[in-house]
Amino acid sequence: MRVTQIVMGMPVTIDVLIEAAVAEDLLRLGFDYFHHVDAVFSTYKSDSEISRLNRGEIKAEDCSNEVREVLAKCAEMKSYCDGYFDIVHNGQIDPSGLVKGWAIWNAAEILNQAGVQNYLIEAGGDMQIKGRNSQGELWRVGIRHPIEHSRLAKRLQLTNCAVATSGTYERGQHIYNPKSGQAISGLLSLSAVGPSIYEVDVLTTAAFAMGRAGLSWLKQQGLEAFMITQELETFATAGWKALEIPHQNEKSSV
Amino acid sequence: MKKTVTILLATLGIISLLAVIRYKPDSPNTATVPDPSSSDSSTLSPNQTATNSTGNTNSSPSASYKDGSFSGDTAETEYGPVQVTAVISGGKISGVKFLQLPSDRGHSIEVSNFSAPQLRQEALQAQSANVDIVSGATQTTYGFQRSLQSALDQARA
Repeated sequence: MRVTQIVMGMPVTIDVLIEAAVAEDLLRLGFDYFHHVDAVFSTYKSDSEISRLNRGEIKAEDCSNEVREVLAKCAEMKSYCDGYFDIVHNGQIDPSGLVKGWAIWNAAEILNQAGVQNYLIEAGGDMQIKGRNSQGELWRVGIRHPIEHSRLAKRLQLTNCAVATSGTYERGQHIYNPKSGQAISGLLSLSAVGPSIYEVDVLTTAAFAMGRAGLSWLKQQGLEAFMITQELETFATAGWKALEIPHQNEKSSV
Repeated sequence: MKKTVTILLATLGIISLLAVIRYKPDSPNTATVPDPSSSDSSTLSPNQTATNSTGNTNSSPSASYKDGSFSGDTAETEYGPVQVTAVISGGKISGVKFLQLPSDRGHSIEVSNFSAPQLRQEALQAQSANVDIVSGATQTTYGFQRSLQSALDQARA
């Protein structure tokens, strides 16, 4: 059973391949969790903990366990990514770059604990997938074309992993380097595949800010990745090709 | 990385009641929001509707552009104004550039070096969207797309 709701300002899709009566309960749990995360972390909700933190109404040490955990992870990731992942913008914190993957991962854990063997959880273009799709095959994941927005740049078949994409066309995406404040060098889109959406999401966000160097940096992190530059050149890591569905006749060059 | 168990504790009580789960593959039910991957035409801008269809070999939706550089309208984003320039060569889009970048202090754009040996390069291609799900931007009208579309409108032959 597949349901999409708008949460955290983006479409969130959960697809569980399980009998309908059980699926409804699990979907409700999953979406309730995303709504909860939105209520706590949204910078668009004036009464969220993050908004109150940004207004100085509460201190970080007085925040809930969840918020303190996320803030600690953001600091850890900023250090790990050498400053290329940074949640501070204009003196305010916006942890959405980490929260999205973290929330998907936690929702996936809810389904894992319930014993679901086949599922897809996607939020704003990032996802964690497991098992098989409704046809009993590997999940088919497209990478959105940055120019022809209703078509795909790549099609993958894979499972038991996470896929994330950062792009200049994406809402809220940095198009400048958080370290230097200068324009990011020439990427339109950067996608990565790895075991856990929590890491893949943050690392892809950080890598995008590195420009062309981001692709090999992701490879060093153990991920397979694919980038599209502003000149519409594409580069992929050595293991990315094995994930692709063979091209069909209807492809065309841009 | 340490995973949170705070929320899991609250829900495991419910989940423990679902201890025995037998299932068979189920066909997807209708989504409450149209799935962008299920139809080629659901999120098209008006200029693209005529050219996207599955099974259409050798289609070149962007082949009717004039060569040159065309700057689109300025679009407002959360980080400030963005203006996209479309570079057309041989009648097709060969690249995009960004003008009016937020926090632009007039410095030249840094281009980091990267090691190429393990990286493969091929031309960017466009395929129809018959997949289970799509990774990438979900909002086609966001600043970049709006500015790009106005640039392409000017480039149309």
